[in-house]
Amino acid sequence: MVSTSFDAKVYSLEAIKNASYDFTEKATIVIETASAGRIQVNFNVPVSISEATPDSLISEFIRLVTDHQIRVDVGRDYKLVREMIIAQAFEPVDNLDIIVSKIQP
Amino acid sequence: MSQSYRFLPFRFERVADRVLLVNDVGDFHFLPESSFDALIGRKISPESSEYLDLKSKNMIWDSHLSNVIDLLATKYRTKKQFLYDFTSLHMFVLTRRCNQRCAYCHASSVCVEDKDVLDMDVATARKCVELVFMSPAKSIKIEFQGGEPLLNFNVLKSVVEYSLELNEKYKKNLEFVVCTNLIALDEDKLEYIKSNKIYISTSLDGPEYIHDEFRKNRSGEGSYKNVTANLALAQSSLGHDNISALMTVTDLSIDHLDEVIDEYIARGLGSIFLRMLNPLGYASAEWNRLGYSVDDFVDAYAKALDKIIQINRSGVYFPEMFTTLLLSRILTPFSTGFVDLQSPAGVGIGGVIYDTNGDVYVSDEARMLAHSKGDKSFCVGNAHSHSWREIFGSERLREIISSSCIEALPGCAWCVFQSYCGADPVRNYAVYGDMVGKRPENDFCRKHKAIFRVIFEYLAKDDEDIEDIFWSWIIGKPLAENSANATQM
Ligand code: SF4
Ligand code: SF4
Repeated sequence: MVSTSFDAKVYSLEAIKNASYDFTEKATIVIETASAGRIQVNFNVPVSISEATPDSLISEFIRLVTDHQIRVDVGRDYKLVREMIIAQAFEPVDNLDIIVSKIQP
Repeated sequence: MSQSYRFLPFRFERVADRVLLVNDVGDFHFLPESSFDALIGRKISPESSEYLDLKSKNMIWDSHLSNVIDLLATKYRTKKQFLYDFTSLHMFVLTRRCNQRCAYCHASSVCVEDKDVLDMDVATARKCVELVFMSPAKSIKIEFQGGEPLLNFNVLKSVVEYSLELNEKYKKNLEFVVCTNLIALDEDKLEYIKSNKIYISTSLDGPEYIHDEFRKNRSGEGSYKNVTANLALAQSSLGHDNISALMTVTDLSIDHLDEVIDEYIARGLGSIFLRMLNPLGYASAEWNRLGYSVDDFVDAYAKALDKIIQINRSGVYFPEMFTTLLLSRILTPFSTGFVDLQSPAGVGIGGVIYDTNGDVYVSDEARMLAHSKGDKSFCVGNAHSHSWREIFGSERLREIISSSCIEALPGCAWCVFQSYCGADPVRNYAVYGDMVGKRPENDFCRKHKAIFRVIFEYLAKDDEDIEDIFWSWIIGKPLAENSANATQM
């Protein structure tokens, strides 16, 4: 069993969970709250792929979490606009200008 | 310097040493890693060409939000136009009998003389045709399948004739396709096919030694000679454009796709569809002899695509049809409904299949599941006993469709290829026991993801010749004709 931990102020649980889903083939993952605002991730690696060193496995996972954190942050920025695009695609409204006037770049 | 721009919905992944960005409507853009970091850190200068590229590709916005939303909404609606063409593909299983016994037969066909298995009868066929014309789709494609549909030619004729009769009233754009191994083709049938403009889709697995290994008649002889003789007959009568073929990649052909491609060109076939073998029907029992991994398939596909591109570079127009479908999604704003790969899935709402007894299944795989495992989970009714509304408005169909919106599925929700991809709830159910499935270990996903990567690696090269070839496939015209048209304009 190898493990690593993330600062909960920087990384969201959503990013860690999504990265864990992508990592399904490489390891079984248990996520738990560690002390002092950290999220701990424990990896159980099947013997068949265990030639990957723990360090390389963890580095790969951290890269995945970082990308997922970007997705979460960027997604938060465009969430409302995305909902409006889909609504407008299927049920267009006339007063879109007024509705979106409060959203600033 | 921090800039005032905000993000529009996009997903990203590293492809060909760069970061590929794709938005919800399928616009894409490659960025070097450093520029991607600058984008995310909101440090891209508004004066830079990258800023303008990102803005014009709808990855960021800085003003006139309502115009941006309107534009993207129109593009989104256009991409999902197939939803308005509710159920346009209607497949008729005219018989489960077949004069071949292919080792990998997905349809689990039975022998010609098997009296226990009924062909579709005329009364059932007419009931199914009536359901077809209840569909609101403007364009209707009726596809005859089997077994071997030419073995029940009288019912094929009754479907064609009753459809033409009903279409006097409904005025749909009506098309017929027969998926046949060609063995039972004769002059009379050919004449009927010609006069009713029925398109032929056939199977040729490659040169004789490849084709005959797995496609044999019921007495165990390879069918190559018979198939190619009837192919030539059909081509001379119907014209080459009215017949296409697909090939199923097996463990034998996977390392010889170059010979398969040469065979197709020598036989005057204008395109090829490289189909991966699925572990369904007889193929599932023979998997050890016939099967291969997704990685092996994608390697072979990539090599074959390279050869096909070289052939096109030399002036011969010869597209690979699955690549062409994906390129249409990637490079054009248009909707390309393809029942096997769309979101929501095409099962039931894009295409439907009528079994010999009138049972209505949401896809061919759904019918296989019923025949091979006795599991009728994806049978949504019967043409004799259910109305169109009961079948197509059923809770069951809604449930199937709502579990196939990849925008909301784990793995797909953040996948960079989502705008071009789709789901297959029936296969997920067959393999994982639930309609959602698990993306990282799912062969369907792994195959598509790898094929998208191959295609985007070509697009990342910014090679104008390759892009011209890809466009010629999308438009369906040889390069020379495209440039001649451009010169005339
Ligand atoms: S020709 Fe088609 S239906 Fe007949 S055995 Fe071969 S794959 Fe099956
Ligand atoms: S099925 Fe796979 S390739 Fe397709 S969108 Fe989902 S994750 Fe991406």
